[in-house]
Formats: sequence, C-alpha cells, structure tokens
Amino acid sequence: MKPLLTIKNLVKVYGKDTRALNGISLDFYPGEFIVVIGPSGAGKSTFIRCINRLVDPSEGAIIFDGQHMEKLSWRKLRKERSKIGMIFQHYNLVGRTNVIKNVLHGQLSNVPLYKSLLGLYRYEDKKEAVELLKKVGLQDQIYKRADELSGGQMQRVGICRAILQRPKLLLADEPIASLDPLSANIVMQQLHTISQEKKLTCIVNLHQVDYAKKYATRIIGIKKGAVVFDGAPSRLTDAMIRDIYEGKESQLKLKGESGMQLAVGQNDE
Amino acid sequence: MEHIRVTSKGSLGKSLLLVLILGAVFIAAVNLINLDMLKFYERLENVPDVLSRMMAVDFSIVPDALLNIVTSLALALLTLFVAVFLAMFLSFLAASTIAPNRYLAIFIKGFFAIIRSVPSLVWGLMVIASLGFGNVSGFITILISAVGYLVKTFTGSIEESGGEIIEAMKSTGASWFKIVYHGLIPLCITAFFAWITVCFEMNVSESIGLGIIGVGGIGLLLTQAINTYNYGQTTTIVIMICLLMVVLEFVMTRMKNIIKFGNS
Amino acid sequence: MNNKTIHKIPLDQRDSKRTFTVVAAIFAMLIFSVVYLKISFIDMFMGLPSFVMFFFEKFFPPNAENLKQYIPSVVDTLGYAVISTYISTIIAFIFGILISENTNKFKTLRVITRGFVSILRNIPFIIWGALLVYIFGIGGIVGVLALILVTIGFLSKSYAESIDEISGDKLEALRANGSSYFQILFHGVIPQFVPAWINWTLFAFEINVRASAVLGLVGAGGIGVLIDTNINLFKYEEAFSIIAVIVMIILLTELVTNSIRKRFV
Repeated sequence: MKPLLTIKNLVKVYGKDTRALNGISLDFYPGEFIVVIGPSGAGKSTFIRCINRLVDPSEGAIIFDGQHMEKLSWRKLRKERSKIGMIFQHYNLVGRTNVIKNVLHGQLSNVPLYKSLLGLYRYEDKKEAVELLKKVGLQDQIYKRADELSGGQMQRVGICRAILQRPKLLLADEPIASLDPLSANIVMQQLHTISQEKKLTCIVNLHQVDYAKKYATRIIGIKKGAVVFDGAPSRLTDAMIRDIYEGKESQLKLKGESGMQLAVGQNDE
Repeated sequence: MEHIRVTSKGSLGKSLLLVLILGAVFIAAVNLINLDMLKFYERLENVPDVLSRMMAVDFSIVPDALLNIVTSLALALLTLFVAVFLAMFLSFLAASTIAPNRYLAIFIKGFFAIIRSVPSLVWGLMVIASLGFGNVSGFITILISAVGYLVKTFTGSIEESGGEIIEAMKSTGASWFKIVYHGLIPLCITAFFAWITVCFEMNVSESIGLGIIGVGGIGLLLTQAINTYNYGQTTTIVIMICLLMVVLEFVMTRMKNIIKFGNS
Repeated sequence: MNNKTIHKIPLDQRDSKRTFTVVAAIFAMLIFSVVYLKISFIDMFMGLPSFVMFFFEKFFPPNAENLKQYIPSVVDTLGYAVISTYISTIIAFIFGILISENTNKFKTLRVITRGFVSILRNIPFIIWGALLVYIFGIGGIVGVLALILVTIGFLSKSYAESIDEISGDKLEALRANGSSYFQILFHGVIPQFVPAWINWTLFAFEINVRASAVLGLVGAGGIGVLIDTNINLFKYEEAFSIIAVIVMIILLTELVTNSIRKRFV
C-alpha cells in the first residue's frame, strides 16, 4: 500500500541549538489511527505541527499525498492544509462566534470571502455541519456562542470543524489534555468513531497511555525528539513505557489494581 | 430543501438595525453641522503652496526653543509635585474603603468629577482672566486638572486593592493614619507611580497646549511663529515638540517598567 | 556587643544612600523649576485662592440670557465629535491591523506605521488644531480634520494592543485549515476584537467631545470660540454659562457612553 504521508529525517531546531526533533522518519498509511505518546517536551507537539507546517521544519521532507509540504508556496500550502484537519488542546474556537459558524470555518478555504461573510455557505456544507453537530450531541447548542460551551462541548465542535474540511488526514494535538476524565472519554470515543466512519487517517498526540492502547492501531513513542517505539499497541510493554517516560516518571501514573493499565497524570500544558 | 440558517433567529435583524442607527447618526451629524465644503475646496488650492513653504527648517530658533522646552518641562514637573501631594491627601479621604467620613468622600468625588469635566484649556482661559498671562497661571491651570486626574486614579487604586489590608489592620486596632501610612501607601505606591508617570506626560502636553492661549513655554513660541507667518520656525518647533513627546513617552514607559518589575 | 546596634534593628534592607540621592535629585529639580520659571512662592500659594476669589466675584452667577443662541454651536461641537469618531475608527482599524504583530508579519511596515501613528498621537491636539488652521484657514472642517488626526493616533495604538491580546492560538485553527489572510482577519480576529473596539471607540468619542469643545480657541469651529470672545469682552458671567453648557455636554456624553458600554460589552 502506498503511504499517505511520508516523513524523512525531520529535524527542528529552535533558536541556536535546542533540537526539538532529531531526525524522525516515518510512513503513515491510509486508515491508520496512530497515537503518538511521550513525556511533555519530547517534541510531540512540534512533530505534529510540522506536518501541516504550523511550525516550519529545519531539515527533512514531508510528503503528503504526493506533495512535498516543506517546499510549497504560501498559496499551494493553503490548498494542501485544507486537506488536513486539525484538533487543538485548547480547542481554538472563535469564542464570540456561534457554534455552527465555527464548524463552517472548516470550509473557509473553499468559499470566497464575501460569501463567507454573508454566511452563504453551500447547502450541503451547512447540512453536513448540522448532521455532524447532531452526531456529537450538540444539536441544541447550534446557535449558542462558542465561549458559552463547556470544554468537552468545545472540543466536540472542534472535531466537527475539522471533519467538515473533508480531510484526508486528521491531526489532533493533545485533544483531551484540558478536559475532565468524563468529557475526555466522550471526546476520545467520538473522535475515534467518526474517523472510523469516514475512513480517515488520524495522528493523535496523547499523554494518556491507557487511551492510546484502547484506540490506536499503531503507537509511536517519542523521546527527546526521536522515535523510540513504533508498532502495534499489543507490543507496547510496561518496560517500554517506562523507558519512554524515563526521567519524567511523575507524568506517568500506574493504575493500582490491574498493573497493566497505565495512565498519565493530568499534565495541562 | 429546507433552509438552514447560520445565525439564530432575530440576530440578523438586530445587527441590521444597529447598522441603520449608526448610519443615521452619521448622516444626521453631517447634515446638522455647517461644514461649508465649498470654502474648504477653494482654500485647498493654497495648501500646496503653504506646505511647500513649510518644507524648511530654521535652526536659528533651536536654542530659544530648547529654553522654552525647559520651561514647559519645569512647569509640568513643579505642578506634578504639588498635585501628587494634594491628591495623596485627598484620595485617602475620598476612597470609599478607608474614608473617615462618608459624606466628605462623596463630596470630594463629586467635586472633582465636575472639575475634571471642564477641559483644561477652559480652566486656562479662566485662570488667565484672573491672574494674567505667565507661568503662575500655567501652574494653577495644570494643577487643577492634574489634581483632578490623580484624585480619580488614586482613589480607584486604593478602592481596588485596599479592602483586605484595611480589614486586617483594623482588626489589630490600628488608627486611620496608621492604616494609611503603614498599610495602604506601601500597597498602592507602585500603582500610584504608574499614574504619576501618565500624569507627567499629560502635564507636559497640557503645558505645551496652554502656550496657545498665552501661558509661556514652547507652545507660546509656536503660536508666535504661526502668527508671524514664519514657516521655517513653525516646522522646526513642531518637529521639536514631536521629538520631545516621543522621548518623553519612551522614558515614562521605561520608568513604569522599572518601578513595576524592579531595576534589573 | 555595642548597645546601640541592639537598639537599631533595621526593618528595611533598603539602600538608604540611594533613596537619599533620588530624593535630593527630585528636590534639586523642583528648586531649579521654581527658579527657572521665576515663580515666587507667594504667587504659588496665593494663586489658587486668588483665582477662586476672582472666580466667585466675576464669573458668578452665570448669565443664562442668551442660552438659546448657543444651540447651533453645541450641535456643531457634537457633530464634529461624531463625524471625526466615525472616520477615525475606520482608518485607525486599518492602522491597528498594520501595527499588530498578530495581523501583520512585515516588520518594516509595522515599524513605519507605528512611527507615523506615534507622531499623530504625541503632538497635543490643540497644536494640531493651530497647525491645520495655519495650513487650511479657519473653519469647521479644519476642526474635524484635527480631531480625526489625533483620534487616529490614539485609537490605532489602542486597537493594535487589543488585537495583540487576541491569542495567536485562536487564529492557529484557521491558519491550519487553509483559510486565507482576509478570512482569518474577518472570521477570527474581528469577532474577538468587537468588545475592545466598542470600548475604545466610545472612549475616543468622549475625548473628541472634550477636544471639540475647545478647538474653537484656535479658530477651528465649535463652542470654544464663544468662551474666548466673551472673556475677552470681560463678559465673565456669560462665559461661565457657556462653560456650564460645555460641562453639561461632557457629563451627558459620559452618561450615554457608559450606558452603551454596559449594554454591549
């Protein structure tokens, strides 16, 4: 099978010599649900932001859907970015705008400015937006202002916005790190269901190893800017997890009874 | 095919109404006032001529202008000092959290609200009418508006941050004066300094503006240059005023930061 | 151990030398100011009382006979403030976008706009009035022009600061899904900016009303010229009634802007 996204020797250096990414090479195939784990500061966030060039990589190649992302001009980059949905830790909704408009922001790249200003989105886009909101259980909140929602609800709007882009790839940067356990569960569940339904490739950064094991088809462990584990969840042993979180054990919390289930302390950065 | 609205019912009508009202206010304003565009267009022909003559600098005025800038600054500084003293005293009497007498506090606040609502140049006209042209008039005028400004801002700072300290010190049985001296002044002093730097900038700008109506300083020099149609001098003085204010803004911002974050 | 040291337990670790130099410097500057300005202390302390005496003797009571004749000037004064606020809010918004790092990535353009705006802001408004009257001649339009220039200076800086405060995170989502610059601006920046915009613009309107009331002093139209002429003709009581009218206008404006603020922000 041809990979959807190929990353070759990705390096990111901040300032003079802070190496956030230290030569990462990976292939991602269509339909995978990949979870990236690792302690904070390992470079997970930088890695995922390099894919759609919210962060410009220092070296290396990112080939998405046959395009070299790192070489694209501004205009072409926008077109490629519209094929990549993204979900953020802090939701990044426009707070004073209502929920459905926030979801429709996912289609902004396909709508000329004057139409979007007048709210003249295509009918099928609006219909899909409403359907998506129904699917995540927000049908009663459609015309509420986004900043009136709870964190979990905001993140579900964030998911709808990303899905409305009809992306080929979905990136999620710590989608549940700012949520309480209950909302985190719902959000993760919905993210998983929807991406399976739409047969999306997903790359998700997570702190919580137990969630990673529950949903991922493939887990990637990152430590100090390099890949230290890459494989099926079943192959991820406790020893490996300890190795990944070495020196940052406080972020890793073993759940008492089972011994196998691992969770990471709520680290909210 | 059912229609899916992007905004909730009624919100579109509301924003439309708002736009209409705003537009109506603007059109009403344009129609009500007598702008006399024709005359303005006629005069526009002379403008390039005036502007080209203003494209000159006259360095001979620089020493004189510098002396006058010192006058403006000295006036602003002297007033600032006196105003800070008066305002410190008054604001502790006026802040509702610490005021010894409620009615006195309300009176002070109301009195200075009225004082503030008179523009400083109007104060200037009245003061000059009674004390004549000169630095004393400038001093009194700036003093009035500076005290007005500082009483308001100081009172605000005290009321904003003082509540808990006052309660704590009252419970130890401290007197009014002790609460103010040992509790509130150390607490509010940084906020006060920030207001004082702003007030100094305002004072300088006022002392320049007052020159227009005959108080001394760089403003007066500019008025003289304008009245004698001395284009080069006018341009030079305006540039110097601008430089003065930019430097002042920079210095005051630096001072505010030093006071706020320490010397490092 | 010496007895004296026991009694003196310092409560502060402050460097007393430095405090002393600062206080000494301030006093030196003050004395210099008094000497330089040739103000006698008697004048300084007697100035305020004698002004108050004069005020109650000459300005009091206000002469309200000609109150009706002021109405056109009052309307003009308010009209100038309204028009200049409208025009400057639009121009200042564009400048604000050009100054804020959030919306303008070109550093040279940012610096140039910032410098230009700082010139507008830093010259006192009455000086702008005098200068523009010098260039364009007297008249109401000149007053409006002066108000516009000063308000652009004030608002651009305030707007830019508010746009800076909108966190880059919020805009990151729109950047990540391929929205164009103007779409990010209109769908991301502007909705978040609205409360600050209302607040600053109302504030600018208050300032404009005050400024517009005195611009008449330099011949730029409005009610200010009436005070000047009446004082010059020694009609103090009539001047006072005009001043009272100005105070009413200003207080009413603040009342209105505050109630709008409460409703919308």
